[in-house]
Amino acid sequence: MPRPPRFRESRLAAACLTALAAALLVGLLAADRAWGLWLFGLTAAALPVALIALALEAKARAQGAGGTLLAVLGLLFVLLEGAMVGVLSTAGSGSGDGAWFLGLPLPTALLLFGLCLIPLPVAVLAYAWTFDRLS
Amino acid sequence: MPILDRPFVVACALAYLALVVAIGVWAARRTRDERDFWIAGQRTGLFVTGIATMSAAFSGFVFLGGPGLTYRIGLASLWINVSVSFTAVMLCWVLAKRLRLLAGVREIYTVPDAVAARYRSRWAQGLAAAAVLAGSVAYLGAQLQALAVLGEAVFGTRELFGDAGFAVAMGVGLTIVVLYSVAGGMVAGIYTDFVQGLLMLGAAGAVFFVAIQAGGGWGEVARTIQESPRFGPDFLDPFGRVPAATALGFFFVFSIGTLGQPHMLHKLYMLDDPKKLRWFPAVLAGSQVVCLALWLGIGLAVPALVARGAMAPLEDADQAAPLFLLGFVPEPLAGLVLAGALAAIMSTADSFLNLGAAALVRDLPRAFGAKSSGGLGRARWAVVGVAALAALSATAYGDLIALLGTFAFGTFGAALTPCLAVGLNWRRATPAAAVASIATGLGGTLGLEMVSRLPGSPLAGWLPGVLPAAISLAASFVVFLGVSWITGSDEGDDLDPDVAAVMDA
Repeated sequence: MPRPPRFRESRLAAACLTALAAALLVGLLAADRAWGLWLFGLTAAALPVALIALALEAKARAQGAGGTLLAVLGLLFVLLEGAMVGVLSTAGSGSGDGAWFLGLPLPTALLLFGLCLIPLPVAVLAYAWTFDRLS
Repeated sequence: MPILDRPFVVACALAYLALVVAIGVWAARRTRDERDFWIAGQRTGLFVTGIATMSAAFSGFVFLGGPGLTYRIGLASLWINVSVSFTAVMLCWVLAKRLRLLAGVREIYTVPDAVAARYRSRWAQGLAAAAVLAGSVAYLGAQLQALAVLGEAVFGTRELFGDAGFAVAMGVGLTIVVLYSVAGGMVAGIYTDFVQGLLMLGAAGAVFFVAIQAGGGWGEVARTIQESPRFGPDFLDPFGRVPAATALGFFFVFSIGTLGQPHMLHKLYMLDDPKKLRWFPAVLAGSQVVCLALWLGIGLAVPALVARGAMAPLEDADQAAPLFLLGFVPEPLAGLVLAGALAAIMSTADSFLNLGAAALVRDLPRAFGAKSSGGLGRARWAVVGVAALAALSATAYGDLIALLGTFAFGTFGAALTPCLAVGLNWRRATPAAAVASIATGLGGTLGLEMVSRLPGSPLAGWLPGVLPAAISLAASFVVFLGVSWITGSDEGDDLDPDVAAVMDA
């Protein structure tokens, strides 16, 4: 009996999610080292995208909306990972001598605007716009 | 004494309490069966459900615990909140439709019900129920702590009753919540949550601007803090006052862990039409970010005021919000905000009373093979029982509200997120994987939390700054996925046809 196509297609997303979860655990357990911290931060920012991919991949292929899904997930990934890279690169000096942005030190501005205030409307509107095709 | 000094504040608080009692009485008349008691008859619209979800999620943790935590650890506390940018959308894409459709084809009133339907495993159902009960008692305990702190500040119970003032404030607030929860179940819960959410939105939005003005203006607040010897530049740094591992752990637990929060997931069963989910993230995330403005506003204003000498340094960080509101905000607004804080606490408390009671009289007995939950009467007594357990946990915990809330949030996330978020989207996920991951998440969080609190804890030396909940959540995911790959088959798990149809929808 042929396998249901949706089930077959979710194996790729599940495999990616598994690799990501394992990498996150390794990063977490090595978080006292610089490489561990970076691994933890980057995988924590990527995991939401991977979960959404698992939930939507099969349906997106069935509906011919693979390109739409890729665009949405790609945008979300770039926003979250970009902000996380920015914060990890600039935070932690505690000296207060760095640049400021909109009344806050740059690392904190990246945290607040990059991880929160900018992705929020993008994510919400992307969800509403793709509701009929992806949900 | 606050009652004599600020009568308007007290009047606002009393008016709000009278309103929720009135809603409880109204709801009691509309609660006719278990479907009404547990999921409000599945009759609520988008706006009510969205705002109620926000107010159930945002509690004393946000209104009192957040500013207190910020005072202690600086802006590293923001790592808890920033994920609201995507958690509402993630919740909807990953879980909302499946849970709502499941509730349409089966008698699904609780999260353990959904686990039972997906995995057909009494072990998985029972462990999920145990996780819900444990987390509900702890989360409710955090709310009771917040109630007591607020009651002392507003009604002056410490001046009136001395050392017993804390317990008196907690007891009075708890009694009111228990009364309307017992009477009206989730019909009372969701409509009080909705009213409370509107109050929270108004209060948070207004107080943000007042707080920043009181601190010296947006541009000045951060500079004042940075130049202060007491706080300094590391207060403003994302990794300044806590290990970076702790900060990133907050982000991980409060983003991914959202998918395992029963008080949020439970609201999805109540939506009258799944098509309304299109704008659900907009309502939920939009309202969340408005409420979080209060966390940021008071979180910055209080240290700025302390740095300028306009406010005495705090002995108890959880007093940051009440002292600021009572000392620096015009009385009418202070009354509104404190009523909003009461609303935040009680909206979350009633959700957990309901969930904990359901775990006790419905989910756990069903895991042992019982067919009936014993009707409305037993449900109402269970609410009282859960309240008593939570009061004990609140008095025993002895630390910041936000930390008890973090522990409870982490317990839910670690135990329930993988089996729901992955399991409802991946046919290969197996009952064995669900049992293993729930046990890992629940046992890991409880065990590691206890070990971390031991004097000279080995955890601090081995994994400095790493949150126990983060370890449990990560381990739970790896266990779930790994066991599924090992025990699952290429043909997928053997699902009931209606559950399979929901997963394929």
